[in-house]
Order: sequence, then C-alpha cells, then structure tokens
Amino acid sequence: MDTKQKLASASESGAARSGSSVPDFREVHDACIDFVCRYAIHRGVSPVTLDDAVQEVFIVVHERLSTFEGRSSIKTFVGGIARLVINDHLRKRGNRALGEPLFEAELPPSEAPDPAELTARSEAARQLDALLAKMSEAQREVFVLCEIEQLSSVEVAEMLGVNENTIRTRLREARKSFEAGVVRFRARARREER
Amino acid sequence: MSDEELSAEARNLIASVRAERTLSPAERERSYARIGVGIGVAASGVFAARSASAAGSSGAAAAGQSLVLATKWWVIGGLLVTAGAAGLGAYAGSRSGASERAQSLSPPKLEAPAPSLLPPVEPRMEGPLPISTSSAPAPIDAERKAGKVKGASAPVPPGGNASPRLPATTTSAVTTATSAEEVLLLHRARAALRSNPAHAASLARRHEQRYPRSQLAAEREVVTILALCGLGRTSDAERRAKALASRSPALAALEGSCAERR
Repeated sequence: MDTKQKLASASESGAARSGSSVPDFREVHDACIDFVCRYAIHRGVSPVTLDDAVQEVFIVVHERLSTFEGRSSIKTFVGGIARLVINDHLRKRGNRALGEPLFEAELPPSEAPDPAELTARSEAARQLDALLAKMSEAQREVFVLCEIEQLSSVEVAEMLGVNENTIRTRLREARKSFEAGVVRFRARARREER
Repeated sequence: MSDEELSAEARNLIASVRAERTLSPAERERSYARIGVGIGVAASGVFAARSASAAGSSGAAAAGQSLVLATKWWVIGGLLVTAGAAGLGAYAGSRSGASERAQSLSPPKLEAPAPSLLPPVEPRMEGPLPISTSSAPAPIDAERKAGKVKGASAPVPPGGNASPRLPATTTSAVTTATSAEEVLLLHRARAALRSNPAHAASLARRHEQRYPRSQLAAEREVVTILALCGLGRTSDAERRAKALASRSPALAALEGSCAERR
C-alpha cells in the first residue's frame, strides 16, 4: 500500500493503520497545503504573514509526522497542528488581518487570470470573508472546517477537542448567520441592478 | 432549506472561493521548496533533489549546492526584510518608507528560487519593537517542552529515521558546512526577533556556540544586532554593526536599523 492509499484509507475510515511507516512528507504537503492556506486565511491570518504561518505549520508537521499513527485522517492530524500554530501566530501583534480584504495579493502577474474573471472571483471572496467576519470565532472555525474544508463533525470535534454536539450546535448557528448574509448580499445586488 | 444544510446559493459561493483559494502547481512547488528551506533539510538533499526536478536542473549535487545557496539567500532575504521592518518601524515609524526600503533590499534571483506563496513580505511594524527582557519561549515552544508536541527539537526526515538530535551545546563543535540544524536554529532566531528579541539573541548565541565557523556567521550577527536594537541596546548594536561592516557586505541588511542610524 503506497502512501496515497494509506492517507486515503485513514481519511475514509479513520481506523488505525496496521503499518508503521511514516507518510511521505511531500505527499502530506501536497494533500494539505490548500487546506492549510485556506484555513489560515479564513482564521484571519494577514496575507502579509501567510507565508510565514504556513511554513511554520509544515515545519511542525515535519517534526511530528513520525508520530502519526493513522487513527485519524491526515487532514485532522495536520489541522490540529495548524490550529495550534495559527492560534499562536494570531496572538502575536500585527499578524492578524485587521479588516483588510483577505487574499488580495492573488497570483503573480504572469499567472493572473483575465481582469473580468479576477473581479468576479474577488467579489465572491470578499462576500465570503465578510460573512465569516460576522460570526463568532468559535462559529467561524467550525464553519470553515465543516463547510469550506468539508471535514465531518466527528473530525472537527477531534481536531478542536470538543464534544460533537457542540460542533453541531455551533455549525447550526454559523449556517444561519451565513444564509442571512447571503440573502442580504442578494438583496443588495438586486437594488443595485435597478 | 433546513438548519442541517446550506442553500445552493451559499454552497456555490463557497465552492467559488474554495477554487479561487487553491494553489496552482507552480505555487505548490514554491511552497514546498520554501518549507524545505525552512525545515533546513536542503543540505540533506531530500528537498534539493525534488527542487532540482521541479526546476529542470540536472544532477542532485548541483541542485543541492544551488539550494544551499538559496537557503543562504533566503535567510539573508528574510533578514533584510526584517531589518527594514524593525529598524524603520522602530525609529521612523514610517510604514511606507519601511516597505520601500525592504523591497529595495530583496535578495538576488538565483537558479533555485527562494520561493514565496505571495509577493515580497511587506513590513508591518507600525510602532517600536516590544522590549522584552524575558527569554520565555513562544507558546508553541512551551508546548513542545511540556511534551504536548512530541518529537520536538530536531526535524525528522520523511523517511521515518530520526535525524540526529541537536548536539549538546559545546564550543568544540566546529563546522563549516551549512547543516539543517543550523539553518533551522537561525530561522527560529529570526522569527523571534519581533516578538521576543531576548530569545532571538539567545538563539543567536547558541548558534554561535554550536557553529562558530558557520557560513551563516554574518547572518547570525545581523540577527544579534537587530535583537540588540529590539532590546534598546543601541550602543552595543552600533558597535557590532561597525565590526560587521568591516568584514561583511551583509551590512546592507542593517540599513535603517538603530545601529546604522547615527
């Protein structure tokens, strides 16, 4: 069984892996880099310090990878580390995005999409960030992990170290807040069209 | 719509942003190379070989060499940015000035890029460096020490074999090759500059004890000088900066710092 299969297996079943080999760091990186970047952004890490925060997460992942036993998914394992590192990162002055649009730095010019597409996509990102900003920290974290990163409530409960019912309650509240925000955006868009 | 699921409109919004915030293959490569440099295993060849493949370079040895160079420039680059941020932030309080200065101090482009997911880091200091006399480690470090984060002190290679632990502090440890541990140690020192300059100075001292003949000696000295600036020890910083100026072009990194200001 190669590493990808092991990761997939652990991810799907959450069962303990019988083998004791350590997952390949490159594959863990590739499997989780988008998740870690988005998680950091949606938790409020400033675009300016995003590189540093992501790098720090993976340095710790690298250090701890040998302790991964496959009892949880690799995403939960990396997510647990990301949470600790990013909490620490956000406690430091200046690392938190203070209301500025997230992920504005975008792609380097050579890879940037055409301006119309970029504008449309950035508007969606702005909306999402604004809606996340309306939530409490606890609700936002659960919403990001469950709805954006598609983790199960069991995985999120494990990652956050709280009861699964608590996760469901927070998620329910977060969804209400999000839907209300989507309705507001839709209404505003209609007003502007007239 | 029930409380248990989002509307189609909400799900579409999320899917759209999720796709937007997904790295391209090139960004993925840059991220991996940057993390590899941070971990400091470039010298071991693990990341060097992969980066060589990504860059189309031939030969692991050549790649290793270029990545070691990249490592060095990455450290210098980081220091340059920090220098601009710390120095100008502390004394001029001019965010835009610091940004321009830091940008002008970007390291040169090398064959193996010093990668970044985003454009060059813009200094974000708007006030003076926090002056701390405590050498208490950051929370993550504290957790490592408390055993909450296992496998703490040295990186473990992906292969699963434990890499050598950091050697016990000794002045007899003499090395001229840039090892993984020393790059990581210097990286941690640099990372601590803003939040805890006393800890940064302590890490730089440890680096000096372990690697007295390091190729990164100039970079280490820059960290020490900036840490002294952060601690308000301007005269000490100035004295060391003058000494460094006489023997290293890395002085450029100190432009705008308290040591260079007079």
